[in-house]
Amino acid sequence: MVGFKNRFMLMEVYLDPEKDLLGEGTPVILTKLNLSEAIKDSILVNFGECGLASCLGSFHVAYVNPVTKLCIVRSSRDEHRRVWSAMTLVRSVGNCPVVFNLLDISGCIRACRDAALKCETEKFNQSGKGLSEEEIREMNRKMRTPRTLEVWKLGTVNYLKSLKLQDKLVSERKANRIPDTLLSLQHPPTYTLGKRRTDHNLLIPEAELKSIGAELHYTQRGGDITFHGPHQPILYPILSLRSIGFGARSYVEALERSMIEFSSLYGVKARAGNKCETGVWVGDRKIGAIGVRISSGITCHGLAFNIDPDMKYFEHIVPCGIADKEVTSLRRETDAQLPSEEVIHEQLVTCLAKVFSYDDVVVKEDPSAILNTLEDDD
Amino acid sequence: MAARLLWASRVASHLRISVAQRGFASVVLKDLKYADSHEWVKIDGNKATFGITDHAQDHLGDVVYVELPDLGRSVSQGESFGAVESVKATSDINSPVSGKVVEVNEVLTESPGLVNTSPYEEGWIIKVELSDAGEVEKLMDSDKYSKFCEEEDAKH
Repeated sequence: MVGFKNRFMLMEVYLDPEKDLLGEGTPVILTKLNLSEAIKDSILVNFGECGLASCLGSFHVAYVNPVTKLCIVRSSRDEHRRVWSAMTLVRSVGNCPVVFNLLDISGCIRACRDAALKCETEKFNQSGKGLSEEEIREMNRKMRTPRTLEVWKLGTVNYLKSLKLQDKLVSERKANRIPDTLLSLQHPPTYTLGKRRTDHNLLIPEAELKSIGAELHYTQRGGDITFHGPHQPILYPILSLRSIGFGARSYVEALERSMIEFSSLYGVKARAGNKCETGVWVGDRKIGAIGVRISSGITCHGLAFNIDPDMKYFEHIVPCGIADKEVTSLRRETDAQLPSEEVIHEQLVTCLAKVFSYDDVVVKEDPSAILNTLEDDD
Repeated sequence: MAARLLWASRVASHLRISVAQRGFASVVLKDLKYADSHEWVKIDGNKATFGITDHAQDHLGDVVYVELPDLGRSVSQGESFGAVESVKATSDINSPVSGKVVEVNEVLTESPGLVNTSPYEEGWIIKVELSDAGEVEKLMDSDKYSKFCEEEDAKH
């Protein structure tokens, strides 16, 4: 009856208070995301890419309790020993030295859950005085529904189609019919303008655009003129700012941080822009652009990061209305070997999910099907 | 007076001195009504003036552009009637009451920063003729609005 078998491992994570932190900042709070990252890294280091690939299929951190430090990890039966040994070899989560200890292993989540409940009740009974203010707040945070980000990987999408899709998703998000969603895509060569319609920053006549293979679109987003094209990953987060507790400024700052975090993966030291120069810069050169629209607390449009776009297209505009600064790309800023575009998109998504503290990232199955239905709605 | 209070609390929050027991440091004026999308309304007979609150302008950042509606346009409670742009983000402004637009603050086209420096006085956005005075009951008073902002900020 059960063709595919899993193993559920109940682990306790010891954070050693005596040992020094490995880096800056306060001790890490365990979340599904940072635990799963740490375990995946350990599998990669100890079992190689082949080992990681075979474990990934069924690998999932099902439950994490940052107060009792218990977690339940699922793995396929065939790979569970590999995952178990990799977990034992994990030395740190974030900046905190940790040690994993296996408490229980079972074939179904129910048995694991019962074991976890028993263990946690024991812990609470033992702790006597009860929980501190901080811990109670943490528990309440755990009790709330975990925050999930749904990612749509869309490949190359025509700009107008992406606008239609975003409009649809914004109303779905507003009605709470979908969770926070992230569109990960690229556009064919396209120039776009913001709400202020600063078309004086387009340096060639509109009629000539077709000859260079580009389109022009006016949008409702903030920001000035910019160029989108192949080899420039774009992320459009459709988020409810109210449920995250962000305002416009903190949202844009978080988008900047996501791109800065991503750049650091390649050793590129990027920084947020100065006043009136929102975006991500390497020195005096702009590498990442932001343009966002917020209506009824739901965001659309988002960010664009230059990996290796055709820089000649930027010569036809005053990018973002800033005349005396250059535009650059990751290709130009580093000699490092760049992985495939798909890996790059994934890394960018992971950085954003981390900065926005999502508990879980889920990739939507076959999102391009929705794109085809949009055509008919016209 | 309100301006000085605003300035004082702005400095306090910048220097991270607590203004009151709460961590919430933006200004809420007592004689205004508030919508949960952070707009304030001043009722004057059957005319209403509105703009965005100090809390809203603080969370937006420096406003660089305000999109004003046309005169004579009708607005309805909860619906968007214009937008402000700050830090590359355009945010819709929703109308706290329904009515007809009789005056817009043209000064904002030249000086959008007034929304930040004086959100309750010089940064007013539009004036409307109320079409339904009863709608004002649905809005929050200053105490409720302060509490609402506190709860929102605590979520972060």
